[in-house]
Amino acid sequence: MIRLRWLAFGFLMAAILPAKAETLVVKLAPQVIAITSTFSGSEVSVFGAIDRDFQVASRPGQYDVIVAVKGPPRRAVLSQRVAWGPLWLTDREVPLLGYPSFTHILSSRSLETITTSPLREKMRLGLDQMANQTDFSLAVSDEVALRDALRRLSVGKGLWGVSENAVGFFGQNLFHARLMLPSNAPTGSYTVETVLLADGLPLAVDKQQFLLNKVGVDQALEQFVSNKPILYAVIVTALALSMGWLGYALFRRD
Amino acid sequence: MTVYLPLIEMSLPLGLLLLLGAGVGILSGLFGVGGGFLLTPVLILLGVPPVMAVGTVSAHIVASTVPGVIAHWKKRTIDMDMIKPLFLGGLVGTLFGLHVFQWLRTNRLLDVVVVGGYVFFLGLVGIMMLVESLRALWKASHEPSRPQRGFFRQWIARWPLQRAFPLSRTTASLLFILSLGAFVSFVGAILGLGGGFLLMPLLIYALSASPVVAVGTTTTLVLMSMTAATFFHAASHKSVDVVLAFILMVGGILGASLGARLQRSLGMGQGFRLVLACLLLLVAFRFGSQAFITPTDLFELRLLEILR
Repeated sequence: MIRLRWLAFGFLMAAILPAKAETLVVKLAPQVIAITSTFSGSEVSVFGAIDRDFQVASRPGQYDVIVAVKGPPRRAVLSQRVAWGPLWLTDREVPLLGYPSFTHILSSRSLETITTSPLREKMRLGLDQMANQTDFSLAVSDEVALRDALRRLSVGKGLWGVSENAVGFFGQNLFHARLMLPSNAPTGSYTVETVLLADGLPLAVDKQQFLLNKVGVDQALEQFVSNKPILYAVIVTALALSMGWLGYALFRRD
Repeated sequence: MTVYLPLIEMSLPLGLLLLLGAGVGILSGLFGVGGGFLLTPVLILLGVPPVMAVGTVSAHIVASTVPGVIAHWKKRTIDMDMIKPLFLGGLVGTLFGLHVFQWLRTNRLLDVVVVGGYVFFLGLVGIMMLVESLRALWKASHEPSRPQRGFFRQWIARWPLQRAFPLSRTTASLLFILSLGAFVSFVGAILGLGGGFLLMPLLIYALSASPVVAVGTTTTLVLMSMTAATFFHAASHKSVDVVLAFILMVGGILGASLGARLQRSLGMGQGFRLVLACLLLLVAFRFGSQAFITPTDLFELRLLEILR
């Protein structure tokens, strides 16, 4: 779906731009983030350079850059509490389809100023757009309230965010942005889409990826648990029993 | 300093987890209850998903009850005659409870029953213990307290298959012991608890069993059922995080030895039962108020497992 959207976007750009005057060169650092036992969040730097074809006349306006970071898809459930007499209880659960688990938009200036409304809709640039393009798996009558809650909770958990003025230029053709990943960020592959704009029109797009993965002991443990659950259960149970025995042996009264 | 929990996929402060394990360990050393009723809600409060909390806590309960069981075994204060029917009844109760659990979940009644169950049972046991220990403290030591023959005790004395349990210094119907095991495990399976907090007072108050033997018997039964639960949770749901379990255990064995030491130097005094009663009532109150107070946010968002 997203890929199709990008394809359409590419065609759109090809139609608008007869000659490609600018190209983007983007580099992420680091490209692999290791989750170790002391992991408490991390930072990803996005470095970019704008390559200009000097045979084309320079633009009068300034360049703008949008960096859209999307995390791996996760299943999610939105639940609602309803009064049941004097009690407040969970009344219903609405599973979400295509929930963008982690989506942060960084931009060089206010999104309203540098993009057009159709582009914001197309690229989900903004919290409202993210909330509106998440599908509910059931028919709901109070869609507005649900989308409002979805937006509020996703931002509250640090999963969604929009940081305007977070992309900084140094010189005319170089830029840098810094993305903070919280410790509860979902593990997996993240895509970073960088869009170069001028006068509200996209000039060039670049797509990069980085990985947030468990390594070493944590990764080995996860694989072991998935591959050999019975053996894991035996080991955990034996560990619990022997830790208890150790406790007895260390602190027994003589 | 925080530590990353690999299966839960979040980090929590190491010191807090050690302290938590120790606090619950002291309880199990003192009273013979597993402490799951306290640890599970606190972990959920810290953001651990309920399934992982219940699974990991069961492993912690195993480790923190082993020293008590060994000590009781050496002192011969475990009533093996009583354990057998309790365990047998427990198997039936657990199986039945797991079915009811599923039924409640599909019919969206689980929340009502879990909240109601916590408030009712913790509150009931808490009030019972509070009244008994306050009454005993009031009478002071010069007047020996006579066990009262209440309506409930007279009723269970009429059950068939009465037999003597010399170690517990009581007589009880075998059928009643079987039902007791089934009832405690049934409630435990639905509420996600070891059930020690229910069994121990029932043995002491309903059967007038010797308190020390009641603690020994309860601890042993909790160890047996929680060992099975740990294995089941880890094998079928991968819901035991070994890192979190290990940290809780380290705190737990330190706390349990401290609790046992406290119990030895001070005995199973009424003061301790008063403390336990207050703790039970506190947890019951927290659960109750949580259900009655208008929530600040009516909505909640949960991320589920990774798509594979």
